[in-house]
Parts: sequence; C-alpha cells; structure tokens
Amino acid sequence: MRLNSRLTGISLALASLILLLQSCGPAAETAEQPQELTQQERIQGGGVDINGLQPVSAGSSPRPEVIGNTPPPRGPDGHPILGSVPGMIGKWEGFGSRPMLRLFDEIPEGAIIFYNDFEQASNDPTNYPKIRESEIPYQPWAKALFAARSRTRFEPYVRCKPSAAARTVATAYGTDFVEFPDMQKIYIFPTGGPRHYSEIWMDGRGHPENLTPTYHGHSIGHWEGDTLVVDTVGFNEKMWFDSDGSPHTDQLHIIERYTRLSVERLQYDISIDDPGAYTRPWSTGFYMDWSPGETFQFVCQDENLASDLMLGTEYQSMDRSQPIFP
Amino acid sequence: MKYITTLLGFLVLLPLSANAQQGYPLDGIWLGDWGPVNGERNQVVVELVWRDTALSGNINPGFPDQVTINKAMLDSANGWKVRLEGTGTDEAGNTFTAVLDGALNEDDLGYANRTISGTWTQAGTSGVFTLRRE
Repeated sequence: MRLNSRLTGISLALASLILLLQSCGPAAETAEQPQELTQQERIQGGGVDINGLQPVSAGSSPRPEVIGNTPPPRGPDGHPILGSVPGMIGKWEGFGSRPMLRLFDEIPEGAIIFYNDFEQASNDPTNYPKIRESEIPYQPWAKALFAARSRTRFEPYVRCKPSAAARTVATAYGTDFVEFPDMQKIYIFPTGGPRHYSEIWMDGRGHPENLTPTYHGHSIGHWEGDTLVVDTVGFNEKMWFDSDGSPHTDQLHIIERYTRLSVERLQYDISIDDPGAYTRPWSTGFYMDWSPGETFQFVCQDENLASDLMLGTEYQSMDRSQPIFP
Repeated sequence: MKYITTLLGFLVLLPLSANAQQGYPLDGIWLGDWGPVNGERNQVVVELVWRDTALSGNINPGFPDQVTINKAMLDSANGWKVRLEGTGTDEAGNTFTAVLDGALNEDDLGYANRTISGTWTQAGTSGVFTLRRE
C-alpha cells in the first residue's frame, strides 16, 4: 500500500512535469533534432516514464505534430515497404494512449499501471479506437490475474525477456521492419528488449503441427492489398504480448495487421483468440509514428534500468534467487 | 528409496514437459509434500493441465498411489482459493479420496514457481501441504 501511494505520487508529479514539458516545447522540432545524445541520455530520455516504469521513449515519445499524408514507399511488387528505405531511415514509435491495448473505462483496484484519461483518450481523433477494458471477454481467472498484474507490474519485458506481438512492435526506442524478398521472409527488429527479433514466413507455408511453444511463436504472413497480415501460434506463457499484462495461455492465436497509411503513420491491428483465457476473440490496436534517424545498439541485459525504476528500495527483501524472475 | 529415485527421475524429465509458465495459475507441474506439521511428510507430484475452461490432472502420476483429479475449483475473486478432489486405488484395491483445500500465495502469484498451501485430506488422514510450481 505504501509503495502504491508512493508510486502514485511520483507518477502524478512526473506526469505533470512531462505534460508541461510537452506542452511548452515544439514536439516536431524535438523529433527532427540530430541524434547526438549520449547513450545514457537516450536511455533516460526526458526522464523516467510517467508510470515510473520505463524510459519515456517506450511508447510515449512526443507525437510529431504533423502526421502527414506522404504516400508510403513501395517495393517492386507494389506493396508498401513497412520499414526504412535508402534515404529514409527511421523507426516506428509510440502506441497512443496508455495502456497499450485498451482504454481504461474501469480500473483494477490498486493498479499502478499508468493510464490516460478515458474521456480524453476516447475523444482524441488521433488515437486508435482501442477496446474498452470492460469489453474484454476475460475468463474470471484471467480478469483476476490482470488485476493482480496491474498491482505488481512484474512484466517479463522489463527484465529482459523477449516479448511478442504488440509488445515487440511497440518497444522502447523504436522498431524497424526488414523484408528479404528472395528469402520470402520479413523480420521485425525492436530496439528495446534483449536484442531479439520476430520472423515472418511469407512463402505460403502453414503452421507446423506439434509446435514447441516459444516467445515469438510461429508466424506466417501474406499481403491483403496494402496490409500485411501475420498469423501467429505456438506462444509460450513466459512472455506478455502487451505491456498491460493481458493474460494468455499456450492456446493463444494472434492475427496482426500492419498497414502503413503514410510515410509517417502505421496502423497496427491485433486480434487475440485464446479459448484458455478469454470467452471469445477480441480486437484492438494502435497507431505508430515514424521517427526519422538511425537507432542504436541497446542491450537490455546491460542497460536495463527498469528493475531499479520499478523496485527502488521497497522490495529489497524480495527473494531474488528465483530461477525465473518473475 | 525406490520412490525417491523414481521421483528424481521424473524431475529430470520435467524440462521436457513444463512449457507453461505464467498463464492459467494452476497449470503446470507442482512439487511438494503433505502430512502432519511435525510428522512424516509425503512427497507428492501434482500435474495440472488447463484446456479451454477445464482443469484436469493427477497426483503422483504413474505411481501406485496415483490420484485422478475429478473436481477442481479456483476462486480467483476470493483470495485465489483452490480446491482439488480426486480418487485413487490403493494396493489392496480399495478406492480412496484425496481433497486439497488451499490457496495460491498472492505474494508470488506472478512467479512461474508460485506456491499453494493448505490442508490435505487423504484416505481419512489430514495434514497440511505446500506445493511449488516447477
């Protein structure tokens, strides 16, 4: 309880400070400044996240003022190129309102997860119309576990575990896509996390039978018009597929749809089907913004600040000998 | 001794089967013991499998005292209470019941190796138990 109160206080103070800084400074100028920051400054960003959990750039970078309607670059076969091309190097950042995949019209008791005001997030035309928390068809245990996770925030990602799906895409410091047409594969490279990647098979194969569950699962993709559709199964239960803490089982089946609306904007849609955790499939998503400039080499195991930011000195008595933490 | 050797052999095989870590809280392989607080403890392996909306499993699978769980309850809204009921057959061919009444420890609910503790009643004998998820 004392920790919750303290975090809430810190969160409110930092939220006020960051909102003040964002309202005072021209965000577009910030986004276009040369990447001359030291590594430590990049990690720190503008300070810790208003949640007190992650660096600012973990999805809450200042949104460019001009989203733009510049047509996306296209490959030889005509479909949009989702990532960087020569002369236009960058990465995708942000996921709009917090939490990542939902609007908090009801808030779990004791939650320390940061959330944007429901009315404001709902009425913001630049924000993806995310599913409301009350609409998510949890099984009872999953709803209770989500509430428990909201109180502790023991996200595997912030302890350098690989993550999947939405959490891979909306990572700290940006994400790039690289397509290898000859290999008929697309790779997703998140900067944040344990320097991992997702691979998507584009050669028309199906999912293997008897998959061994893994962090990223097995992904197959195809194009539907200008949208890349990725179908993934075979997830393990060690990762979270978002930063919110949505529970899942190894029955999880995710379909993601990536649509580059313009040079500057990516629409990310995700459908979650897990009969072990939810009573029916549900869908949501977010928009991401193109952030020009090269990324940098981040290795979570060496540069992770999350444990200190999250735990401070309050949990010094916690048993850290756990073989898997959490 | 033979029991412990077999149990150790079973533990060696655990990494091959224990994929689930953080989904349904009861899913997985659990190790622990039960018995009187200051008396002889009975080592146990509990294997629980969650599929869709149903939990199934066994206590000491493959051993002579195997118990097949035929009723399971997890009350996530009230302190993560757990109740497991099952039946087995002893070496004389007599059917016996086992009932576990306990709760998940909320302090380690987020851990893969979370714990359950409570009371264990089997074949008319009661004791306390603690299980840790592997």
